Amino acid sequence: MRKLLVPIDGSEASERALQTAIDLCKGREKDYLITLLHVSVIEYHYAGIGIAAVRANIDESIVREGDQMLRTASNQFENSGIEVDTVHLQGYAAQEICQYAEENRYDMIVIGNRGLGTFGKFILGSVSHKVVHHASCPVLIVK
Amino acid sequence: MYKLLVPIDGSEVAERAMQTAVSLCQKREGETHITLLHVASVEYYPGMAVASVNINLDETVSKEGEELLQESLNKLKNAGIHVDYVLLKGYAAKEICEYANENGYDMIVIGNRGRGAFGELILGSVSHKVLHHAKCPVLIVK
Repeated sequence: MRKLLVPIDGSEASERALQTAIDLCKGREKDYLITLLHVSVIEYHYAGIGIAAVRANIDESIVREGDQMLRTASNQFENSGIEVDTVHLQGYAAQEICQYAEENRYDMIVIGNRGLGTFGKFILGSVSHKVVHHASCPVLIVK
Repeated sequence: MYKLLVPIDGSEVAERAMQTAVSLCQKREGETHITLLHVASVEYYPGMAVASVNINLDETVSKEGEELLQESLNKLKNAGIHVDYVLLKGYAAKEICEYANENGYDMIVIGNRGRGAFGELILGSVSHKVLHHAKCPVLIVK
């Protein structure tokens, strides 16, 4: 069994990464597992918001959005014959991605060159950049 | 046809990139194609002004590249995958990206750093430039 980890954040590049991962499995669908991973950025992102109740609401809606994103993405696998699962983590994206890949022995990380947060002029976003640096497995960068 | 371009320079990590490319082709050998690409750095020696010396160096560098490609090709022969090789001259990153773009490769599989990079760099200059200028997905192998 070969395991591909595809971090998704709702960006177009992550959409293309997912498509590339599916293409990689063609003709040998039974041998592959694709895990869709979304990392919710929680708490430290909103340092300005001090009221606990407001933060709790934001956290909830962020987690819900992430779950929704993962469901939508995994729906693309219907009829593909590829085994897919989804994982939703909280924390710093790059760190969670690399840790999860390492602990669960993924063969490859397939990731978009830049996600939602990156400015247009950067070819490699900060998350992809860190993942290339810290991952112990091969990393496929999709544009 | 799924076309993979694997730039090699004789480094260990390039060797691993080759193996990774082969494993990507497993179970669909008939529909995949691997091209091994070596770029000979030619006329890189500005210190050597004597033309005849330069020509000799060029020849040696090209011959070494040819040998490297032939050796690597032999290693992949038994895998049952379509493999060919290309020897180009020039600046590595530029030639790699141009060749991939012009010939419609689906993926470049490259080591994170080659022979020239310092140990502390995670991404060597060639891999870094390839990542930036290639139009296709780039698989970075460590």
